[in-house]
Amino acid sequence: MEKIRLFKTIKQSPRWEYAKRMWYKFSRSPLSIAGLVISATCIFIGLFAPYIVPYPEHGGLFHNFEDRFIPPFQNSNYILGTDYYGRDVLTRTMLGFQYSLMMAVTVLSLVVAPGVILGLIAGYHKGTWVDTVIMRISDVFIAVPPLVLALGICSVLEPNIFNAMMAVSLMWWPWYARLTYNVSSAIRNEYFVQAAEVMGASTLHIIFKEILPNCLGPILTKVTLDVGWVILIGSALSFVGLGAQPPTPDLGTMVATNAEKYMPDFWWTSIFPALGIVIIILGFNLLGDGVRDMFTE
Amino acid sequence: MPIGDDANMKMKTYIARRLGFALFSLIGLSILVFYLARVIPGDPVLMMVPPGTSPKVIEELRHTLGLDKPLYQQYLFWLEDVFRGDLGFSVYTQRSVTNDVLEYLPISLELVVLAALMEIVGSFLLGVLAGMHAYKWPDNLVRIVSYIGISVPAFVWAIIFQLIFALQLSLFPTGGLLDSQYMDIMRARRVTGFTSLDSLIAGRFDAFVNFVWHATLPALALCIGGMAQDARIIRAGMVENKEKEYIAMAKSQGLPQRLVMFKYLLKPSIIPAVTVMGMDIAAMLGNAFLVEKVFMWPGFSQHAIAAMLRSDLNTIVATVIVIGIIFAIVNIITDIMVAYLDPRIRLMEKGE
Amino acid sequence: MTDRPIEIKDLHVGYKTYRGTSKVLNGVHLTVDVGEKIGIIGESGCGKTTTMKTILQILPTNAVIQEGEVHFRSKDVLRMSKNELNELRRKHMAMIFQDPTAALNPVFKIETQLIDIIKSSEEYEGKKKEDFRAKCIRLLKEVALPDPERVLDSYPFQLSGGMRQRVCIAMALATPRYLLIADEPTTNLDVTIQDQVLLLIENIVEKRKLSVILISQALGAVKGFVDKVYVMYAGSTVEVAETKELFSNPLHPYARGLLESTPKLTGGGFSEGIKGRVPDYIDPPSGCRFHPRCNQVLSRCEKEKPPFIDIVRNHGVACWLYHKK
Repeated sequence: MEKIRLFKTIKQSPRWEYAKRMWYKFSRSPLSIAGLVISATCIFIGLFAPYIVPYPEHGGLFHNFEDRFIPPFQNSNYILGTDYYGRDVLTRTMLGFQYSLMMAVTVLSLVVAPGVILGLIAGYHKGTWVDTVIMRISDVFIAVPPLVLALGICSVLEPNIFNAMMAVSLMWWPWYARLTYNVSSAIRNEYFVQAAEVMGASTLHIIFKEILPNCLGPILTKVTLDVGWVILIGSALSFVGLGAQPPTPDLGTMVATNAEKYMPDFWWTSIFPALGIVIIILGFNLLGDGVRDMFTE
Repeated sequence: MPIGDDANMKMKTYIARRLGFALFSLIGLSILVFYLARVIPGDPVLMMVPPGTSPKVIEELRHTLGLDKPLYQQYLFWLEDVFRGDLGFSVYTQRSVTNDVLEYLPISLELVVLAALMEIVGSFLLGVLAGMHAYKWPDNLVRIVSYIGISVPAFVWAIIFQLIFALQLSLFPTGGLLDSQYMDIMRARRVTGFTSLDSLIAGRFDAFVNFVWHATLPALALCIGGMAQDARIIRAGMVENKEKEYIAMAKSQGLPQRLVMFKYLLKPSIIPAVTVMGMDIAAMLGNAFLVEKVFMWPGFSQHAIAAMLRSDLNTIVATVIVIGIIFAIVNIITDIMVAYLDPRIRLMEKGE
Repeated sequence: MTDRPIEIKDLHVGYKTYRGTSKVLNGVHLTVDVGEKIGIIGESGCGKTTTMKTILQILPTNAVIQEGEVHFRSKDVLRMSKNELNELRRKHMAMIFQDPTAALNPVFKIETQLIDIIKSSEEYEGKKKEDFRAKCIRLLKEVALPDPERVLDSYPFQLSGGMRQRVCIAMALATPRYLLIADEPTTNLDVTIQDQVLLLIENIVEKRKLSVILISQALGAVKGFVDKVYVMYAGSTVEVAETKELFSNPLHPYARGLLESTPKLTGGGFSEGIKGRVPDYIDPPSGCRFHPRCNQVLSRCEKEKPPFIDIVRNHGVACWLYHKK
């Protein structure tokens, strides 16, 4: 079967050379490097938050009313201040990263594979009933803004972070199906795919060995960018009260509950978690642009 | 056949195809939400009756409500109701969901329309400014602004704007639709349900200004992310197309600089942005849910969230369907605009 | 003060890329006299198009003109004001581009694009829309396009390649000019159309008594049409002579290789061509840029760039082989 691959669009230079080229294209923009640093930091915080935060016990139902509402940058024990219950805002924000990233990882690991496979199948069978069925079904899930459908799904279920993940996953796969479909239906007519067909390669071989490798660039770019967007949707669900519930240190929940109750006077309780969301999205956006540069000539 | 008629035909087929797709998606969506609302939460009859009701009573109720029929028949009955404009009864407001939609939807829509107008104008100005001065300081400024604009979610913008411009600087109200004295006036003068239109119909220009004053911050929070993104796309289009041979050609013919820039460069450059702009405006329908909450905007989204938190199933279903319809309309308008701007889409044999 | 439409002296132009500056033009010399027909030959990527775009100042934005002069009637084009430049483009020169698909704006009707050109010349000031359309139809008839009404109402993508190139020619002729730059006008067309389009250009040039610069890969076409041929290699003029002289007695090793590499219909098998290909312009070969590919290379070729000298009257070459020791 190996011989069938007449030529590929992805360069077959030795692996190390290939990696060096990719890195070169990625690192051309300082913004991509910044994105890499920011998102790596976010992931680090997400992984190790419980071990590195100053007050791990502040993540849940903890109160210390003596230290409540300490403004930021005034008390060296609480750099970003404390909330109504006297909990450290920095601790809770860092723990929030953990929830946000968990959400992103769960959702993306659930949706990418099915979405991509359906997109590949539809793309390979472009113009047949298979294409029509798959793509029309995926259209249904993108017939409303993602947030609205997620809200609808969450509201018929029990509002908690697990159901929020399920709801977001259910409406996220069509975007991968669509993206893969667009790329693969174009590649499908390239000569190297036709050559493989003529030589009698199996459908599976063509889809996964010939077409898929050429779709990886856009898919990887989207996955990177989507880390930010899934986190955004997740925090939005929490923000309206249909995702994680207090006292979970979820960024969206913290922004919403504190903004509602303590706004102008105790702004830091809401603004710093909000800044956390912004940093994650910004980091993965910049990183995603870098990944895109990596795969474009 | 004269070329004009041919073009008209193709445009009509194109629009018809889009409408067909949209209708298909909406039907699919209705099946999806019907399933969500009727199957996932459990037996609707058991949810209605107090615990300990005799099985016989339950069966009777099931029969009266038509819930003993197969699921697809129930769906068809329900769909029939929807087509008649009956979206069911709301356990939250204790009245017909259709009434709620008619009352709250215009208030959300006028916010979204204002935000959409701001987005179109803003992204156009910023994008052209950056594209004309590519790699110079206006471009860099727009680049930074747009990265921030994209990374900050609408609800965070809402909170920040409220904190700075309303709570600290008191330049704008913190929330609501109108000041209370205007609220009473407008309630009495309700014609279309759109506060902006009603105030103009009533000749109360002061109420209209008051409305715009209240709507500015939420609309800005809604549109700023999309504005930033579209400005980038217009800019990218202009920078890319500037190098195209047809621009060199237009220049080589000695056409005036203005004509080259604002006609031959601009039109092809804005086409991709229009598509994305349409998607961004459609996405505002979702973000409105968050922004309305922050600014206590008494619109449909705010109402829908209240209903969602109370598991008011009929309202939840209606919300998804209604937003789906508006979403489809926005998308079709976008497609028509793009087809109008880009003859390749309008006149190609198939709308691929 | 001469009336000479074009005089280029030692032109150097580069493109800024992320890898460094790509030094494409490396000493171009070119002279066009009134009524003269010039041909330029050379492989693709030799800087022919860049030279033409420099004349009209329509280079891509990353291009840098490093040194050299481009004169139009003794005025330096590189130092012209925007208005002077526009006048030059409007009244004196027109260019036909290599790829008519790329040269026509995809989102405007042919009529719109043609009328804008006509309007920009003051000759048509104060005329009505119908006059413009009538003029367009006359132009399209002149380039032998069938059904001009229909063409005017079409968008570029609705026309065939040959039709598009005819439209481009009509645009170049829309206002009276006397220098026509034709940059490989037939390369992107079907073989069957190439001759027709070339013939059309020849006819128009004869009829309107234009000066012309014809860039072409089709050596046969050049041979039968132009008075004088320039050979370019890797951004330099390497040889110039009157057509007959050049084709019978090419001096520069590159010119010889180029003429030999054309397959002849008379048979005799394939020639060897020239080994290798056009160099990388970011780090071009030192000295004579042709030396790595040259089969008569001298030791000095690697170190010094050969100056452009007249060997006999009207036959110039840039090669150390012909330098008096």
